[in-house]
Amino acid sequence: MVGVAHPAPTRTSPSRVSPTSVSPTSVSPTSVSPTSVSPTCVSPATLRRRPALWIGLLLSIALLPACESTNLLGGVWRATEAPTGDTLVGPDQDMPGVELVLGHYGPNVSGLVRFYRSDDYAVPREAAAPRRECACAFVHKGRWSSATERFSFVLRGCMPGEAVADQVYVRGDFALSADSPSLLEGTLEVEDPASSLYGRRQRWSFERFDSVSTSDLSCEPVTDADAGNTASGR
Amino acid sequence: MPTQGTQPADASPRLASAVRRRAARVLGDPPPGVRVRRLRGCRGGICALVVTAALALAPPLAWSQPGERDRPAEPRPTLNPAAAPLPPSPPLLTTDLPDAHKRPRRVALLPLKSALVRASELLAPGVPRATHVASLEARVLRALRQHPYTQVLSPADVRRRLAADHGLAAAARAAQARYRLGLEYYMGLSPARAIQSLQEAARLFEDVFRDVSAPKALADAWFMLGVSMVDAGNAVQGHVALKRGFAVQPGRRFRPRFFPQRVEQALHAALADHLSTGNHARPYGDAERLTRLANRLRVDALVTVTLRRARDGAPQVVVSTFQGKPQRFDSEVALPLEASATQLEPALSRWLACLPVQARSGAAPPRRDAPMFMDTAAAYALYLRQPTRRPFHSVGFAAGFAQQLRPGLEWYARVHMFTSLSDPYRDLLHAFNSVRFLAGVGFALQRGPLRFWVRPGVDVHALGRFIATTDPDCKLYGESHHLCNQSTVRNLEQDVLVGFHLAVGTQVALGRRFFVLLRLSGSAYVFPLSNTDDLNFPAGAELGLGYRF
Repeated sequence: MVGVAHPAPTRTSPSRVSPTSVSPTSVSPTSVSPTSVSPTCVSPATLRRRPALWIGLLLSIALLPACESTNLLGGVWRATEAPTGDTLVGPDQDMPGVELVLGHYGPNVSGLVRFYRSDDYAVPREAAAPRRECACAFVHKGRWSSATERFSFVLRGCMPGEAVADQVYVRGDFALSADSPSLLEGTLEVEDPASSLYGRRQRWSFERFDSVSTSDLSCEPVTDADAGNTASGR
Repeated sequence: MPTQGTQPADASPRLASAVRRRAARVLGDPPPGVRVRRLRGCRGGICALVVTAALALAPPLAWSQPGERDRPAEPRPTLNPAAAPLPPSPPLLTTDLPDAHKRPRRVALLPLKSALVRASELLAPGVPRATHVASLEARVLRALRQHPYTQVLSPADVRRRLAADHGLAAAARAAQARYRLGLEYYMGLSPARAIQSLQEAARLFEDVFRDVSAPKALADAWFMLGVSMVDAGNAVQGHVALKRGFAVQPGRRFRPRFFPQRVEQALHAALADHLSTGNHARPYGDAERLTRLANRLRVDALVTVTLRRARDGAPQVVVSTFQGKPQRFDSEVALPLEASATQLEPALSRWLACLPVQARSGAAPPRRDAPMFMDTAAAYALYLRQPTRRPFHSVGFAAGFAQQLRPGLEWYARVHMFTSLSDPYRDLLHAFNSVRFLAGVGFALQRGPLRFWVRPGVDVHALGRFIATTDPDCKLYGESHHLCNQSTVRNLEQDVLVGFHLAVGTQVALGRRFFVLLRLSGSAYVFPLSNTDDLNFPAGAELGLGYRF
């Protein structure tokens, strides 16, 4: 399917986000630091300057195997630019805001995708009205490859726009930008042959916004919907 | 003035009572409550001499009243009445310490010097030398070595140790180079330059104790310096240099007509001067130099033996003893050579009886039969079997107590408080606290300031909120979320693990009471049987500070 051009959305800076959407200060014990690289890591340049640190490095290798990047993706990521490629998410009324809420645990990634009415991330879509809205979908089979630095996952749920009331099987494949570790770039592609959207692929880029708080993780299933809770992906 | 001989041992009671009478005359009767005590560790005769000398020379004294015993001790008198007032000496004698804590007194016997030469034999190299030097050295060595807690360096050991001392090697090489240069200047008829080089050579040779380890080198330097000075017309300083050469090697002889006649006359004069006025009781220099030598040899005391002629011409043995700490000459005993076979051993024995015994460094005098050790330490632990994919770290502190039951055997109890931190993959859902109790027996070995031990025992480990899973949904949303696969959750919360424990460690003494503790340990839990598959085999390390009671 040929992609449809969308009106270019204005870039939303984090400072424009409503304080009601994310509370940076309300980080729960399960919150994930977006830049949590182990403090025991030592740069090679430092080692070259101070060879005595080799001893410390050897001890670190022996005693602190935590010195690896196991939480590069943890945090809240928001799309700040319009997607390119096929039509998959939107157009609805306006370009929806797409937010990834991720927890990164070594080779595993968990999380959810949350959709907002617009890219100002001010008004969330309503989870209890899956026929009209598409609020969120859980991330399944999230995997992080430290070798290729790629992140893949599967969504089973609705997509705002044409598939707002359908369950679609979407595969996500993203990678951290080589220019910035705060930029996640990749594609969403429908891999469900039974779906009318099969084969559609849309390219997105997300920018790190904040750490995860408990309120970000709310994506409760709706049991009274006629066609099941497509919003939560179940 | 040196003591001329020593009193026989059977005179001790008589001497002791004489001393008490003398003390009563000098000091008056002791006040009520003051009791005259014998000096511990001293044999009667020599202590009687000590006290007699002290009373004869002491300024007006007064009996100390009860309760005054904590005042600083008066300087302790020695056999050498000419010695300066002395600082308080260590109070420990052979009876004050159990054998396990005694460090052998290290005594070096310096090479014997014999001044039993005649000036007339100076230019007679063919005349045979006296052979009693070696036998006398051996006799002194035997007398020193038969005493317990005494480690003796023979003259050969002393020479070897000084020759192998790398700290002296550079200066010795420089001295040799200066000597060769001075010799070349002398042969090249440049006496002024020869004198300068030979003076430096002699000074350097003296600094590196070549008079002890290789006396010929230093004597050569002095002799050549003296000869150069006499050649240069400086007969007075030349005489002094030649005399110092004979002080180093009294038995040195020269070929006749090797030197000019005026040099031969100067050599004769210097030898005669040395034999008549030389200080034979201190053949290796003053107290400061001997202290440096004792430090270099790492010994507590030095013994020098010199053979000389008494005023009546009879050969005499002069035995001088010196302590490095405190820096003092303890005794100078002159014995007729023919009597040395019987009197040498008693003289040395009495000196050694009063030579303080040192405690091994780091070993406190055992004021209790069962010393106790307490310590606190920073602790780290790692579980070799854990339900998480990557190891997680446990840090905390430990406090322990141990008491010695018998030498080498002790019991101990220990408590650990750990906080276990999340692993890199966060399979451990929460950091949790745990408490470990350890108890058992230990087997210890003391080596100087180090104390090594092995401690098997029992480990009782009360776990805190230990919940682990590999499901990322459980980690992000919590273990009660509908996405969390409960089958992946391992919950050991509030479990108590019991098992065997083994620790090895060492204590490094810091002074007499404090010590640094390094401890490595491991445990294997066997109870409860069902839960030890998830979490087991903690290995730990501790570094701390302790105190010995």
